[in-house]
Parts: sequence; C-alpha cells; structure tokens
Amino acid sequence: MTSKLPKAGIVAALVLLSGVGAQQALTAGKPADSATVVRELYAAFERGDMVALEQLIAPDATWTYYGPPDKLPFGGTRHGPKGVAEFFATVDETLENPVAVQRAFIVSGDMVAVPGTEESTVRKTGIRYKADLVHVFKVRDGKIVSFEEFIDSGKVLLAFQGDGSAGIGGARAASAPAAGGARRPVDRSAGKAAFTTCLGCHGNDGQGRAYMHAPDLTGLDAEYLARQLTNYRTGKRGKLDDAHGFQMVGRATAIPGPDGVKAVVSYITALPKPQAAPVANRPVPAAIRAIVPTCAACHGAAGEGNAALQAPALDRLDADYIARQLVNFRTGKRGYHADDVAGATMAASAQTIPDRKAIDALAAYYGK
Amino acid sequence: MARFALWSRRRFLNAAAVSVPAAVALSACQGFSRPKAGSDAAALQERIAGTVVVKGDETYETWREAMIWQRAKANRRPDMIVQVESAGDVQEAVRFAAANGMKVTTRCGGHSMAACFLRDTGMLIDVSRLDGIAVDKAAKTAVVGPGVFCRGLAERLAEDGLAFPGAHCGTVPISGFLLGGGVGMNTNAWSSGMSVFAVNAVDIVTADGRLLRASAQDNADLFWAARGGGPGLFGVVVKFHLQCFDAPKVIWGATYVFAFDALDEVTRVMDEVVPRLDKDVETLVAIAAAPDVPFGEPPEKRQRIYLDVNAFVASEAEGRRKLTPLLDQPLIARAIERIENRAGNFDRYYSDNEASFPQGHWMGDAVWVDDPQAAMAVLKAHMPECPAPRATPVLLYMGTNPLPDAACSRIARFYLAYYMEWDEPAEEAASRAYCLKVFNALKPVARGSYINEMDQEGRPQDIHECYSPQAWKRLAALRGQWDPKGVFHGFYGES
Ligand SMILES: Cc1cc2nc3c(=O)[nH]c(=O)nc-3n(C[C@H](O)[C@H](O)[C@H](O)COP(=O)(O)OP(=O)(O)OC[C@H]3O[C@@H](n4cnc5c(N)ncnc54)[C@H](O)[C@@H]3O)c2cc1C
Repeated sequence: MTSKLPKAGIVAALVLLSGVGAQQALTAGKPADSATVVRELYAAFERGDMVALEQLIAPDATWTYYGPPDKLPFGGTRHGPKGVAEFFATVDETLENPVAVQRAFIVSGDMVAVPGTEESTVRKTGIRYKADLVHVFKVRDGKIVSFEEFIDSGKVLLAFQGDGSAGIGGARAASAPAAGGARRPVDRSAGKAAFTTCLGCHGNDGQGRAYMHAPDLTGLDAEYLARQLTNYRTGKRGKLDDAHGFQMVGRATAIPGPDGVKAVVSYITALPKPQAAPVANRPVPAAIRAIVPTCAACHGAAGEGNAALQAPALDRLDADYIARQLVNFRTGKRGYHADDVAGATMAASAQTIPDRKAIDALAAYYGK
Repeated sequence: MARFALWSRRRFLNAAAVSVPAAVALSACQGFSRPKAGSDAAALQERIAGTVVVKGDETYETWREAMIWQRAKANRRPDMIVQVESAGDVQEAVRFAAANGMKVTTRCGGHSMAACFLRDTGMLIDVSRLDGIAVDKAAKTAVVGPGVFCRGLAERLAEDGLAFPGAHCGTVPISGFLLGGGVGMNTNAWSSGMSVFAVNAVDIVTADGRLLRASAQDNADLFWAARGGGPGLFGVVVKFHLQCFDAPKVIWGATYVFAFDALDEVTRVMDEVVPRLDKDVETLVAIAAAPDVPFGEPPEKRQRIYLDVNAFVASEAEGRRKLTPLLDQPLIARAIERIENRAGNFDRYYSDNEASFPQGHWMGDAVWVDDPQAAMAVLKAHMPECPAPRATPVLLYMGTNPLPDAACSRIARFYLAYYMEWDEPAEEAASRAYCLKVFNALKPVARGSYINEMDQEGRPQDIHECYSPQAWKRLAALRGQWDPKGVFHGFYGES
C-alpha cells in the first residue's frame, strides 16, 4: 500500500528518538509486551517500512491526532492500517524536514506514553514550528489498538495559517531561507501565472477540491492534460449540459494560447503528487470482473495510465469524478466530437458497461 | 437542459474559435529564478512564501493578464504583483509597500468587470490562494478564506445543513463580492437585502501591516467600512467570519421564456406582483438574444425574455404555495417555453446558471431603481442601437429591507444590470460607448449604482453614488484615520 512513503514524512509524524534504533524481532506465537510493540513501531517508522508498520496496527485500531481536522489536514481520528497509512501520506504532503526528540517511554499495563517534541516546516507557509507532545499507545495481543497524539496543535495550526509567531525564535523560517532547503524555490513562471485561473476549483496544489467537483490534476500525464485543455478550448469537451465540466470552457479559453497551455501543463506536472490509489492491492469486485481487463488494456493493470495509448491514469482521480466521466462518455457529453479520437474510443468502451452499479464499482475500484 | 442554454450557445462556439496570442514567448522554464539580487522584488521575495513579479520580468505580462478573470484585459500595469500564500505574506507585502512608497490594491478572483484592482502604479496583492472553510455547525457560522468560490461554499455548507447568500454565479469568490455588498441569493430573506450583512467579522491587514479582527465588538469602525467599502477599502481581508442559515430543503422554481413583446407586461408583474411574494422567493428577469436569430435583427425578433423564480423553502408543497400568486398571472400563459416544478438545489442552480455568465470579453453597468417600468422603458428605447453582439439586461427584485448601518448603504427595490459581450477587440469601444450612453440616460430613474458591477472605468465620477452621502463621507474619514499615509489606493479614478 504505502510502502514507498518517503521517510521524512513518517518521521515528522511520529517523532523518533535516535536511540530507539535496534529492536529485537517480535517473537512469533507469544505476543510481545506493550513497550516492545511501541518501540518496534517507531523502528518501523524510522526504516520507512510500511509493511512492518501495518502488521503492528490492529484492524480496528483508532489513530488520533488532536487538532481541528478541517484546519490541520492530519487532525482527527483515523481507523485501521489503511487510515494510518493515509495519515502519514497526509503528513508527508504537508510537512518537511522533521526533527524529533523523545524523552521517555512510560509503561503502565497495556498503555505506553511517550513524551517528546516535534519540529517541522509547514510546506505551504514555510514556517518551522517546534511543539511539545505526548504519544499515548494502547496495545492488545501484540498490536496497537489505539494511538493518541497530544500535541500543542494550537501552535501547529498557527504555523499552517501562516502566523509567523508560531515559528521558531518568533521568526518566520521563510525570512531566513536557504539552510536545509526548507522553502520551495520561487516560481515566477508563466505556468504558475496561468494556473491562477485554475486554483479556485482545482486547489492551490492542483490536488482537486471536492466542493467544486474538480479533479486532482497531479500525476496526470502532460499530453493528457494538454489534450483536455485543448478539447475544452475547441468545443470538443464541456457541453452546456456537462454540469461540472462546462465552466472549464471559459477557464481553458482564458489561458493565453497554445503556449499558455504548454506552460500551465508543465507547471501542473511539476506539482507534488500525493499517493495514487492502491489499485493493485484491491480485490476486483465480482460485478466488474469481466470489464476490468478491458479498462486495463489501455489504462494499465493498476489503472496507472498509458500515455502512449492516450489513456490517463485512473488511480490519481477521485471516485466521484471517474463515475461522472463514465456517465458523460455514455450519454454523449464527452467523446462526442469526431476529432476527439481518444474520447470517442472511450465513449464506445463506456457503452459496454452494463449499469450504474458497475460504474460505481469501477469508480471505487480505480479511484481515490 | 440548462435554464439559459439558448443564449450562450453561440458565444460558446465563438469563444472556441478565437485564439489569443500568448503575451510573451513562453519558451523554456523561466520560473524557478530569483529576482535580481538587491532589487526591491528580491527584498520582499526573501520574506514571503508567495511569488513576487515586477514590471520588466519576462513573465510579467502573463501574470498581469492572469489577474483578470475575463478575456478583455484592461491596459494598466502595476509595478509589482505579489501572489501571497498566507496572511503573513500579506502583512509582509503591505509593510514593504508602505516602506517603499508603493500604493496597494488587492485582487482575489479578478472578476471585477472594470478590473478596478489594476492600476498603473504600485503593488497588486493577489489573495486568491487564501482558501479554507471551517464550519461551526452548532453556531451556524463559518470562517472562510477570501479565495473560496461561492459554489464551493454552498456545497460545503450543505454537508452541515447550512447555507449562505452567495453570488448567483458559482465561480465568484466570496472576497470582492462580499466587500462590495453582494447581490446574493435569497438575501431578501436572509440578510437584509445584501449578502454582506451576513458577515459577522473579518480578519484584515491594515496599512501598518497589523492583522486585526474587525467586528461589531472589535474595531467597529473598520468593520463598518469592510461591510461595503469594496474597492475603496483600506486593508486586505484575509478571512471572513460568516453567519450561515438553515439550508433550504429545496430550491423550488420555474423559468418562463417570453417573446420580446411581453416586456412591458413582464416588467409590470415584476413591479406589482413580485413584491407581494414571500421574502424567500427570488424573482429575476433577463433579456437575451435567441441563438438562432442573427445579430442585426431588431430586438422584437431577436430578444427573448426569461422570467426565473426560485423559492428557498422547506418542502415542495411550500414552494408550490409560495409561487402561486405569480404563476396565477395571465402573463404566464404567454410563455413560449417553460421549465416548471423544478426541485433544485445549489448545485443545480449553479450548473444551470453557469452558461449565463459570459467568460469571454465583457463589461457592464448597474443601477438601483425603484421604478422598474420607467427604467425598462429607457432600456427598450436604446436596445435597437446596441452594437455588442450579445447584451443582457437583468432585473432582480431586492426587497424593501432597511439596511443596517455600514458602508454598504445603497439599495432600491430593484437591481438593474446590463452586460455587454463581444468577440473581437474591435467591437469593444462601441460596446462601451453604448453602455455609457444607456446608463447616462438611466440616471434620472436610478438611485445610485452597485459598486461591484458599475462601469467604474466609464463613469468614475459616479462612483460616490454607490454610497449614501453620509457613508461616502465617513468612508473617506475612516480612510484618513486607518491609512493616514495612503498606503492603499483609493477608489478607481481617485489614485
Ligand atoms: C461571472 C460573474 C458573476 C457575478 N455575479 C455576481 C452576483 O451574482 N452578485 C454580485 O453581487 N456580484 C456579482 N459579480 C460581481 C462581483 O461581485 C465582483 O466582480 C467582485 O469584485 C468579485 O470579487 P473578486 O474577489 O473577484 O474581486 P476582484 O475583481 O478580484 O477585486 C475587486 C475589488 O475588490 C477588492 N477586494 C477583493 N478582495 C479583497 C480583499 N481580500 N481585501 C480587500 N479588498 C479586496 C479590491 O479593492 C478589488 O479592487 C459577478 C461577476 C462576475 C464576473
């Protein structure tokens, strides 16, 4: 699932004490004591070993970071190994260059408390914060059933909101850049300029906004993005009754010419890409077992896309968007123009999907 | 079928055929370079996470044009454009401007048809990346970034059973819309006629670079100015604290299309019947060209009248009941097309409405009127000479609420706007001249204008009429108090 997670993000979330290093392997058969499990968890984090990590999380585990989830993207409670993986993916997307200190492992029965500090730079604002925290674990049968992070999330939130007072030493990390490369490079490109007209719907980082019904653009190949923008600009996509597609006609037309399209596409393709949907690990639902091979022929075995066949990645898109497009392809709202060859191919393929249930199953199987 | 489908079809095709030359050669990757060391831009760039672009930069023209949402690009060039990432960036930028004697304007969605944020000198701060919606369901409030679009806000609030009087077009961000007053949805019932009266507080960066909360309790005079000061506001709003309302269970509505010869009767019904409807029934009339009738045909042949009514209600039965006094009118039988018994929601409303807001080249003007029949007579007299290929008057009933005390101080029973749209740059000058002529002729029946949609470029001398004389005076006095050194540009034409 998320075994490719970069280590930095993992460390940022569950901070590590450098001395936690060498761990004894968990003995098979007899469940390890709670402190051992917790130490093994930290070790797995440090190695970036998501497979080992996943095995330490109980299927019904709860994973809580105390902070407002609508403001701190990793705040709130998540469930099971999948939720934990998603937590780290989110942390990795939003924080960088973590430094961590753990002061003690305090054990009481099946509970382990780990006081410490965490220091990270918020990617979006460039502010580096250092916050006190306590991790509280509960262990059952050698697996973690609950994790709670009590952190000075007020400070973290201020750092996310661009409030320099939360920064280390009262100064914004951004005013003293360079060291450690904590900042993104300054981007004054024409692509970023043109992207101004995209971000209200697709998000500042191109990762989509559900509330605007706008898909994640990151991870889609350059030719596909350019082709769709051009389709919108030339009447090949975005019919009036394409409820959430029509407004793209105006926005795509606002991009200054074919060079502008090129520039904005190269900006988008350079944006950070969050994890793709773990399609390969998902069982294929019975309802779509007969259809999936057809999809895979163009879009790849795990929906990763195939630019040579003009087939976009599906594992980058959210399920709602995929379902909506399948409906559009089937109802003449997409792939209707003779010059949109790839779209017409897809429109024909979409006709073979039996029903709405299959559409939803396909969307859930491939989408995020 | 979208409600105003017919009228925009043609525009869509035209827009698709025109290709705009790139402003600059966008050769390789000009980004990822720092401003020249020691320059003004470099000094600011060092301090912020956003992007600083100055006149003379290779990509400046693309940035400048990107600030304007539509395709007609006003010919004015600020010295510096700063696209911010955070409130902290805004503070740094304002302090920098103050220290360097640059005058500041702000843009968010760049929807202002007059591009009033674009001046020939100073710094333009782009706050469009300041987003985020945090809802407090129990308190029925939301804290929202200026860059959030009205459609997105509606969608997010609906998850918690709440609603806010957003703009009628979904891609308008709350920012400039609210600061100028906001002719929003269902405002007659929700917010005393204008959306800004559902703003509880703003977080605003003032001329000295401080970030302040302004509300009825804190910095009340600044709050007074923020609620309607619009392009004359002396600060940058980085967050809006909104009062929300219980979401309607259904937006129950209907649309009727009439031939142009029904105009007098439609206007009479607007004037005499619509005001008797319940406050949560919103009624709007638009006049637009039928797509299949060529430009040049007289209005009676080419123009259609669209009467659109929506009740923001708890049930279909309530909707039906509330529409009855209007639907009982003999006028309704004259409709040549109709969509009835529409059980809508905000998503549908915004999808349907998208087509009616041109994203090509356009300008417009707007006035408040108490006597819509007199105003329509003026329009009707001028319409045959309209040089713009597409031109759309819109008449909206606003209600008769007294306005709370704020800079937003002008309203009337009706809102009358007129939008010109063209395809070729050569058509622009004539369209603008015609629009100006019409609105000069409307003056005797107008009760001032609406700052967010008036033709600030064509009628800068009338901008003060967007405010009551007392409010205009107080706004100027508060500017002197909050921005004594004139860090912020004044209204268009003032600086
Ligand atoms: C398609 C379309 C539909 C529209 N529909 C409606 C409608 O239904 N009802 C309605 O009332 N209006 C409507 N408008 C008009 C709209 O309200 C104005 O154009 C408004 O200015 C748009 O907000 P903006 O954030 O894009 O402002 P911008 O054009 O970006 O800025 C306009 C001015 O607002 C000020 N401003 C903006 N943001 C800030 C800020 N954060 N802090 C300080 N000052 C700021 C600046 O002085 C700036 O000069 C519509 C416009 C368009 C293009």
